[in-house]
Amino acid sequence: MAELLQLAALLVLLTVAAGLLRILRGPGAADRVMAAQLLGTGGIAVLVLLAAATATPALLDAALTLALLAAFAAVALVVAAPGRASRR
Amino acid sequence: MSLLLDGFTLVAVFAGILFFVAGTAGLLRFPDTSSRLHALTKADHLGLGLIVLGLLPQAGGVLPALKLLVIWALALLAGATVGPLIARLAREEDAPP
Amino acid sequence: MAAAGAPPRGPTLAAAARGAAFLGLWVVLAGPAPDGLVVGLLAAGFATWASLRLMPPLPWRPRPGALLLLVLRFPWQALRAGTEVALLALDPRRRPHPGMLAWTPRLKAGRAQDAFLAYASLLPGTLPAGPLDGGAIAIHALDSRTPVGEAMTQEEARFAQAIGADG
Repeated sequence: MAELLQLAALLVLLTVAAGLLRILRGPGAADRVMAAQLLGTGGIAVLVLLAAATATPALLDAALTLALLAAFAAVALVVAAPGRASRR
Repeated sequence: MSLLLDGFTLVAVFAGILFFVAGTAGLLRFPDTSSRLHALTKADHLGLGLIVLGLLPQAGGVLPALKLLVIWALALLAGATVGPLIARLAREEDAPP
Repeated sequence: MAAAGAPPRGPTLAAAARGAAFLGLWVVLAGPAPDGLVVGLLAAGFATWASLRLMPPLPWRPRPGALLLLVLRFPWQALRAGTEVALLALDPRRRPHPGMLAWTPRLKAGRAQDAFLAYASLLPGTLPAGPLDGGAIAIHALDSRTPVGEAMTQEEARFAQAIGADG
């Protein structure tokens, strides 16, 4: 069971990495803000899988923090994106 | 019973991975930024939901299981709030005023 | 957005409900150990104070039946939304027909409308993309050949009824 869950975590990680390579190319800021979202969702998935696979409950706290940070990061990036100064 | 629950876990977790794969495929294939955002907000959140659902029997108690659900709810709330913001940014970048 | 008509439920009740919810969240996150509970009480109190300042209670009257229906329908909707995108992304013969349309909400601009738009971003095929001139909302549709506006209006009616913001 633990090995299979670790394999699952690895698969999610590889998938997220492939998506990240695409989004970071842009073209616009919106694509790159999506990277924060993707890292958030995918990172949480990897962490909860590893928490179960390795019986390390502390990883759940890391996943929780990532959920909070990804939300704040995305909002901050949207607000600060170039060309947004004209509107609130 | 434990075998049954383990089976449930594996089915749900690997179904979740399938949606992560589909989300990434969408990111690679879809032609415009907003469509890629659809792939991200819908496929990936369903993937995370299925993985969390699958891990619930492995959490080892009611409180840890609830904690998993809180993490998922938070990710969902964040995704739902941020999705329209990024879509708006993408629209403004597409058509500069 | 001062809604007229609905009797105020009183800030005390709202504060008590939010405080209890925050304390419950604390117990889930930090565990029920009694020596941590003091910190939990402090944290819940502070969170309640902050939430009342940032999000003053609104006179919404959630209808339990409609709300339950909405919550129960959500996993099904999320499954449909995810499956739709997944099939579109994985089937090489298919591709999206994206389009942007202007949709006019019934809910007045404010927290109820914002909440609905966030919810709508998780529904199949639609993604709100910010306000347009004249109170309309831009909606990005993954398949613009489908009646997206009608679907949004239907969902909005369900949502408004559930949270009781339609009065």
